[in-house]
Amino acid sequence: MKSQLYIKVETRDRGGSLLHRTRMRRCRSFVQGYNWAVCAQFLGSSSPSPVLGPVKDTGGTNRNLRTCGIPFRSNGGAGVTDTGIRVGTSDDSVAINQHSLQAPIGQGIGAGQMEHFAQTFSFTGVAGNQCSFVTQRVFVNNSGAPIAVRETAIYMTVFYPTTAAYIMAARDLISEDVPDGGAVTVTYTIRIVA
Amino acid sequence: MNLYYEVIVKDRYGKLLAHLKQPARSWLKQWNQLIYGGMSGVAQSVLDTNGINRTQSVTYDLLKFSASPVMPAWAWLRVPEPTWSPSTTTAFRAR
Repeated sequence: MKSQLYIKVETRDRGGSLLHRTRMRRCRSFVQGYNWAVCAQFLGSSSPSPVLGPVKDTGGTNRNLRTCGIPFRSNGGAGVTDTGIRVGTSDDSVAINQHSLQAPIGQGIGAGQMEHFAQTFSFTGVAGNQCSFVTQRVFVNNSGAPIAVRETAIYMTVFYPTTAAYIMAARDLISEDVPDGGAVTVTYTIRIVA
Repeated sequence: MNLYYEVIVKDRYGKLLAHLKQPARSWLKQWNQLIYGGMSGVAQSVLDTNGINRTQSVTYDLLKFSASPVMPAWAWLRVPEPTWSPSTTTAFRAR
């Protein structure tokens, strides 16, 4: 049995020319938040007993999870940084108990910021003994200076409706130098293999 | 992400006949459809365990596993189905 996560990254300059593209590689990067979120949905209880957690949300606050009204939602829209694929500048190693990017890049056109496009999804279906879907996000650097992108993650929603909170499901290290006016595209493939 | 399962079989007196713990094979398409629906917010048409296409909920009870008379019975994964007896248990262990 395998449920696997793959990542592919490409960087382009302001004219759209390809500067760097990685081959799709397998990640080893689901972190604890994801498994807590799956467990909460399996339980399907609004008040689990004993409590389910705590697990830190992306802001570092301890949360006891419950069934969620919009579980796993990571369809961040344009400019949204609570959910969806995110990028950052830290190359600290991945650890299973991490709860957020180590140095997340904010939304905007200020120094060190990038513009977050809306996350997209594509269900590619079954091919042989594999079933996959793809989710992708583009980040544009209009900060006026190059940005060294060194990490990426998937943020998703938990603990709703009482209070929406967000957890990091996976984190990976990448190495993309994005020039001013350029863009980096991060593509995750979630694949199960029978 | 790996999935494991554990099976314990006892006779009427409580004597342990088999105790298996091993990796499961495997998640099926429906699992990925549910995760896709949850992440994207776009519902998928998912076959339930009766072979009926269901438009999944992408809100509450997306993956609810705890017993409930109203829970949808999704087919998530497949595990080996040996015929349980002491002899077949031995053979199963030996694989």
